Amino acid sequence: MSVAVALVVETVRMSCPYVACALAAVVTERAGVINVALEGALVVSGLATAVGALLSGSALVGLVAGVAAGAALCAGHGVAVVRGRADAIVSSIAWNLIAFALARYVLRVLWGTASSSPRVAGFAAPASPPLATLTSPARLATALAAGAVAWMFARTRFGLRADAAGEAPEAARAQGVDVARVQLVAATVAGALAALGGAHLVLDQHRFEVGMSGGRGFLALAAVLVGRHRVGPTALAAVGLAGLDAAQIALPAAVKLPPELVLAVPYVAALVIVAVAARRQRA
Amino acid sequence: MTLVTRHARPVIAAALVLTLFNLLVFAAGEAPWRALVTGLEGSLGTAYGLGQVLYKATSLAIAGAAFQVAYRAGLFNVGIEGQIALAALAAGVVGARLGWAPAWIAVPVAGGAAVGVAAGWAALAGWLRVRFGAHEVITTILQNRLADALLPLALAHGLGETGVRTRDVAASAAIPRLSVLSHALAGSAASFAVLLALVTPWLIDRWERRAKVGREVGLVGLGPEACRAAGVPVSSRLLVALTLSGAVAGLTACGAVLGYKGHYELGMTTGVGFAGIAVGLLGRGTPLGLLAAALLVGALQQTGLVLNATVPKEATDVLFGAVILAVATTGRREVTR
Repeated sequence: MSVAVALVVETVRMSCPYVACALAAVVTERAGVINVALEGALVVSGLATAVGALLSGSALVGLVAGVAAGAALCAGHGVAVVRGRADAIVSSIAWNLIAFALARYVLRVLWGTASSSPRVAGFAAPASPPLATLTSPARLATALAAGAVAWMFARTRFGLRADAAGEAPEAARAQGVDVARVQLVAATVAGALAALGGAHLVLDQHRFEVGMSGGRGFLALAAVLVGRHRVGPTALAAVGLAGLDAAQIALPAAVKLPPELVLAVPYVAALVIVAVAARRQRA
Repeated sequence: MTLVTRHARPVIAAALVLTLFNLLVFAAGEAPWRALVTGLEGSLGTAYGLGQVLYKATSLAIAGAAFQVAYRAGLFNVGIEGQIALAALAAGVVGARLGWAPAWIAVPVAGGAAVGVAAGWAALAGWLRVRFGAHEVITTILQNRLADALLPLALAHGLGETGVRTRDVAASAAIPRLSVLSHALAGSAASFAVLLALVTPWLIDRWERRAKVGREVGLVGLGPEACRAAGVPVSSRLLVALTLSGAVAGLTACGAVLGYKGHYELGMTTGVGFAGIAVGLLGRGTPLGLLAAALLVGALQQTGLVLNATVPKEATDVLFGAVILAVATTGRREVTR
């Protein structure tokens, strides 16, 4: 396979967690609930996917368990912020802490190791490798979710209410919208969306590891800034981040660079992106 | 909110945290009450355990003070974790090259290197904030990840003895252990760096009350618009707050590298920054509150380590997260920002 094809295939493969988290951030932030615990949602959903799949022997059960766990974590965040009036950043920090600690705790209680789960079978691939990359269930679900989220904001009453709750909660309340409820639902949906990314990581790499989310839940926030909370541009920016990831895998083989230096590239890029996007927004 | 629910909240929160503790211990196959007694005996019941709690509390109190400096200005320094790690590397690298210097030069120089590096790293986020309006939460999180990638790079290419650690610091750059005071503390990691934990929060508090710049930092946190109208240089004050926050975070490295390990190794400060954020929040903006929170969290962590054989120590971190949530949801709003 040529480098170019490998790059494209890897980009598609890596894009799932980025796009999932970016969509999640768009939904929750547009509804007015800031959430920087999407990294934590990736971790618990990955954990639940592995536990579900290994205990039941079915990848589908794993996927469902993962989505439920991600939704639960972000619902918890939503309750703390919307009902408990906690600061969104403080609550996010707490949920990230809980997610990482819980993952290690469960790994040690179930399998006696804090690093990685036993092998997870994943879905049986219906096609040969390059094509299978495009047809994995978690990846398809993420692509569908992108369409659904775009449709939700453009066409549905809930999308309109979520935007209103985020933009002008007082006005929305005056119009009879139950702002707290809308925000709780949006926060929970966001968790389920991000969880698609966590489930994908586990089913794709056939194991759960605590560090496997690798900051993607944080990097996705840069994509949201670039896409200015619009679904299409944000998803595209997320795919761009995945391209950087793919380049990390494809490039060191081609050019001789220390691998640690290549690891730093996405974060430097994201810092620049955040600065540029912020300046554009301010202007 | 009615009077009843307002007073019921802390009780409900405490009950939830306690239930969670029982669940976590029980799920690991241990009896909750026995775990509690064993854990408390091991952390607060022996001189060695107390020394360990003191060592942890030292780092936590300083890291918490670092968080509070930025928080006062309305800024979230989520990057303390990475700032501490880079500072610890700097303390190790510089400390190892000070064999020629007497202690009164070596300790301040090694500590100063740590403080300077961390301050510079935090200032980057501050600059991105005031120059471009990039939110410090996102930039400091990204900088944490960047530091994670840069540390092994630096160790592997010239700064490390091996790929995972620096050379030992010079004997003159080491901060003496508290065990020189009493043999009961032998082997415990607590050092005279504990004095830093006592002095730093108090000095910052003084600065915020008495100094012109310090007061303005607090005012900017209360209302940047009003400050701008009144002629306070808001951008400059934000930059000062975040840089100072990083500098204080850098002090944390002194206890770990100069007071305990004697070198920097990858991962040795992991978790201190995030725990420090929690301590800063729990401390409620007063030096005494900060110290109390640091001792509480230090004791919780040491209890977790004592129980680690039967109950995974990560259980205490889960509990810890729950405590942060409980405090964040029951706290009075006007204090939070």
